[in-house]
Amino acid sequence: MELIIFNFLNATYAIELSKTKVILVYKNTIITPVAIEKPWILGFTNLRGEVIPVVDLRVKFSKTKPNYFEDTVIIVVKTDENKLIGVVIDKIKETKTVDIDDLCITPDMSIGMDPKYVQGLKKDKKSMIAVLDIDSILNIKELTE
Amino acid sequence: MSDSMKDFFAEEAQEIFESVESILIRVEEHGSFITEDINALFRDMHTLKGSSNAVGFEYFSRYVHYLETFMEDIRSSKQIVNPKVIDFIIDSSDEMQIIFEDELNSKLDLEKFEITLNNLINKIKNLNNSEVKEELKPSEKKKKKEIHLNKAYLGEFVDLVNSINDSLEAGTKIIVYDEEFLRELFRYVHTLKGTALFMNLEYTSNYLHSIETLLDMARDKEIIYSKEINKYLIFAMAIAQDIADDEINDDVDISEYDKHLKDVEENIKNIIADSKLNKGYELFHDKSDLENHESFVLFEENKSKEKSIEISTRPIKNLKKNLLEKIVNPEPIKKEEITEQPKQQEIKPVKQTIKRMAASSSIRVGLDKIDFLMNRVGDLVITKSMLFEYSKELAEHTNNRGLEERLEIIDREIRELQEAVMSVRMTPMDSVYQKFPKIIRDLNKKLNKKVELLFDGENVEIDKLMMEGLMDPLTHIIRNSMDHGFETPEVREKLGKNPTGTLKISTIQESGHIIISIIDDGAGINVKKVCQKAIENGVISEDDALVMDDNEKSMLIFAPGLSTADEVSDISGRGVGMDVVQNNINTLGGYIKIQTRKNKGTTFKIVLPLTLAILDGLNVEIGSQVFIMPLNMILESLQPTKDMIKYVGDEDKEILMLRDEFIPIIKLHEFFSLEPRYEKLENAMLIVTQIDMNKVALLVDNFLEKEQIVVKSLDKNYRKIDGISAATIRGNGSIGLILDIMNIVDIRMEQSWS
Repeated sequence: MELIIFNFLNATYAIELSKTKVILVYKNTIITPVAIEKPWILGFTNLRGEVIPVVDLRVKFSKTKPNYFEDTVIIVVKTDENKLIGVVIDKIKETKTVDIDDLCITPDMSIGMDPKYVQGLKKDKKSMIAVLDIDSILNIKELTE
Repeated sequence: MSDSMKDFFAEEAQEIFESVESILIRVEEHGSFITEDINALFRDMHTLKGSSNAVGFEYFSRYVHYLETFMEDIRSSKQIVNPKVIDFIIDSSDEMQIIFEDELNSKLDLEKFEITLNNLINKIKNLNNSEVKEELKPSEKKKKKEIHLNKAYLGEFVDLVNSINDSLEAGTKIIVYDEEFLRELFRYVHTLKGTALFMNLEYTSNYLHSIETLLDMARDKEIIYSKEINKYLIFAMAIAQDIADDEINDDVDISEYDKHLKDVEENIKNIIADSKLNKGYELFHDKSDLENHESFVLFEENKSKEKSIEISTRPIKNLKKNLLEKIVNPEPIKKEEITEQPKQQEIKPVKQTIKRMAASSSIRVGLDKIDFLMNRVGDLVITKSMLFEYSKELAEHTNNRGLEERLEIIDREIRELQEAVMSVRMTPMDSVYQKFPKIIRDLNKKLNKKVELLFDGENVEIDKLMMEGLMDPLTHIIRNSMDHGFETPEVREKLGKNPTGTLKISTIQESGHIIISIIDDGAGINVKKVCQKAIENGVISEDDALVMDDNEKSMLIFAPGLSTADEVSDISGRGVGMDVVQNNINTLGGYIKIQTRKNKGTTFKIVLPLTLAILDGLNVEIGSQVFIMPLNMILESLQPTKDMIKYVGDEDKEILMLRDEFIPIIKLHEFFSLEPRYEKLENAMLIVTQIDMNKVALLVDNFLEKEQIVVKSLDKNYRKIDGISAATIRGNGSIGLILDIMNIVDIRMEQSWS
């Protein structure tokens, strides 16, 4: 399993690389906001003729106001509902191949995110990488409630 | 002769062959030559003969010589043109190509060639001599019937046949046949029968009726559908295709057809009897060899279910192969014999198969290809805007506007390209409407009714894909109205109504929807009867019925298997049509509503999303954002003066007084939680719109430019948003949001009541 590993919410997270379609640089992306939607729905952008939503999960999972820097990017994910959704993350670190058996089961304790959104944990030198269950996070119903 | 010369000629010849073929395809479709075609063909033959002789294609040139002479005869009216002559020319031009290729590759079998040439000469002789007599003496066993083939349905017909064949094919592998399978199969056959009827394929339709009956019983579990039945149906469908092909060629052999019809009726009777007794049976042993059945050839290719392209191939060649062998290897036939019984043995007319007609009248292109094109053009537009901005910057610095001026040209060209690509997908409703007058006319005759058809909104453009999905439901609704809705002229007169009924179909584009209404002034739906039937069939309980109003009850006609018709007719009454209607509309992402009043009539309202429809929009500024307002929703727009604004109750409930009319105001910035630019209403703008007879004024900060936009659904990657019907991509590549006025008004109304 190949992972794309990134900084997000002051920790290290990962998404399966096969789920990601494109990576957009945040500051070059024009987003049309929709104020009446949930605050983490930043709005819509144009991905090669497709209208796709962009979400900032940092707004959803953290109380602090997120910052946008030069290296803030949007990872466009294709979910199991067959939707293309852009997710804002702080900074991409690397991609890495890991054995799926190496993933530990998420403990039921706080790791900064609801364990139901985490596929598993991967030990990395000193720290931990939480592999996100991006399909359940970006499930339209979950996302808009 | 040098090879390069030959190659050069080969290329030229290829081009001429193509030109000949395209002419012949057209001629075959129309069944006759126009002078231009004849001249072109003659010219082509002449060129072929001359050039081929010059570069040393001795045999080919000889062959073409005869064709040239023949064309010359036609040109000088020495030779009469009839379908046989056309077939002959098509046959010969195929042969001609084969000879050419053989000679080019030095593979020509001289003996064969002489025979082929002799055949050609004889055929020409026969055509010359016997033409007049032949025409006066129509063959007896064939019934001549004028077929006004409705080509519009060809594609659908082929699709349906393919779907049925696919289902049956799948059926050979299924062990337990579930309800879904049977229902689907039945639905296909039912629709196919209807389509055949509309295409005027009377025999085919009759034949299919038997199959339909069988499937109807299987669906209702009156008999048990088995592998044997499945096998038999594969066989029966093959016959049905045969009949359809014959009918299109106007070539139905009545005695054979009767035999087929009797066969199928008998077999099905047996099946039904046997299945009811639930015992095994052997069917059609004497003619069971399905693999050898010839009619499969016509439909065999292209069984894939994908939305795919069907581009006219050169079917003539394939079909001709067998025939050609016969001509090339003839059994020794004496010349006298040939002259005695010429046509039937030698020149079999090229069969016009349904498949071929569908292929030659249109091209089908996968939707994904058009989407791809649209997106690429969209990208081009964005790149162009970028260039424009850059050139403006450049002009400011250098004072040279040369680049900008040239870009204007690109701009225009890109816009034209964009429109052209879009128009591929869009079709005016007109093309949907076209098919109905005939249906009405036929049904008027058949049912002894007098109904007049009216149209409205024929210029509203809808997505091609949507249109295809709409044909079926609309046809069903219209057939249903004709059958059940309208009274006979006598009854109407007794009721004090105009003896001629009116059926009106109108289409409007409103608030991000396409709304198609089918309005009849007939008897209205017999709500009581429908309700009673629904209770009998267990669709609803009696308690349910108590709380339903008439319109809700009338919706019950969409329940599967529900029909109030006492007798099954071939127009409607099996109770399938209507549930298909609702299914189809739902698949298109729309819904259907019914309003019915006893003796006043029924209105079916089909509400469809726009998806890819093009929309004329007005850009409006609301706070810091720019939204798109559908232009057709705007009744009028104005900047209100102070005295036009009245206050109701408390201070911030404004109302617009326009020409003695009070119109409620909806502040769009409030709806979208945006900061307005102007606090005072007099500084802002109002747009008056009308929804269901009620006027509403929408407050925006400013109007900007008008724009034609392509609608993109938000559902695809997200979901529907309150107040927004869809999105579009603007020139600068950003997303524009289209206001859903109907939705906004609905939501606001609800809020103000609660």
